[in-house]
Amino acid sequence: MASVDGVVLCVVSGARLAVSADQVDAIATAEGPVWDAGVAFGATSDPAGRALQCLGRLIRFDSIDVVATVGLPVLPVPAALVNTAHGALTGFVELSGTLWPLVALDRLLGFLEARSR
Amino acid sequence: MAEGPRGHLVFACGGSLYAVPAERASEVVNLPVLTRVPGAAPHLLGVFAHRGEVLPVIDLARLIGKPVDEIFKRVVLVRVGKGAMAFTATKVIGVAPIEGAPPRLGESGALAFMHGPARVPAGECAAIEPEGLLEYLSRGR
Repeated sequence: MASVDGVVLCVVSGARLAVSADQVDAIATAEGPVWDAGVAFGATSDPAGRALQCLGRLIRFDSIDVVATVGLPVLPVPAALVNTAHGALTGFVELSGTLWPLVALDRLLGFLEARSR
Repeated sequence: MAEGPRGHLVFACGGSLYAVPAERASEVVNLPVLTRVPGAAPHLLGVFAHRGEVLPVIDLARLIGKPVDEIFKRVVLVRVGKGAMAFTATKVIGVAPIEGAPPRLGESGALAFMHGPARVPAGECAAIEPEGLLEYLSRGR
C-alpha cells in the first residue's frame, strides 16, 4: 500500500482535505490574490482563513494543521472518482478514524481555475 | 438458447425501484457518516471507509435527475471487476428473478446503463448494469 510522510490537514466549509507536505511551499496568511478552496465544495472559505502556497499561488482554507506522521497509509481512489476535480484526488488517509481526501495541489489549482471561469 | 431469469437484488430509492444482479451485490449496510469529496457531482453524496476500502455513495435518484425528498438509511454495496460503489436505498425489497433483457431506459448518460421496465413481484424496476454505470461515473465531469 502507498504511504505518505507528513500531511497538511485543511478544513473548508466543514469539509476536509489533506495535502502531502512535500507539495506545500509555505503556509501563509491569505492576503492578496488567493484561490478559494471552498469553491470545490460549492461554498466560500473564511476570508480570515489561512493559505497554502504552491507553485507561487495561494489557496485559502478556513483552517490548516500539520501532521508529521511518517508512513501514513494511503487508501486508493475508488474507480468512480478517478476523474473528479480534474483528477485532483490521489487517495484517502485515515487519522483517528476520520477519512481525509488527499489531493494534489497543482491539479486542485487547475480545478479551481476552471470553476472560476 | 434463451437466457434464463437472473436473480437481482431489488431496492427502493427516491420512490422508484432499482435492481442489481445479485452476484454483484456484496452487502447492505447502514448509511455511515460520509466524507465530502471536492468537485463531486450532486449524485455523489460522499465516501466512507469499509473494510479498508473507500467506497463512493451514489444517489441513484439524483443521478437520473429525479427529485429527492427521502432520507436514506442504507446503502447497497455493489462490486464489479473495476471497483466497488454504494447505492442509496430507502428500503431493500429482496432478491427477485428478472426475465430476459429489458431495453435501455436511455441512449445516453446514466440511463444508458439501466434497463427496464423490468417486472419483479414488488412492481416495475430499473435493472442496473453496474459495470457500465461504474465506467460512466469514472469519466467524471
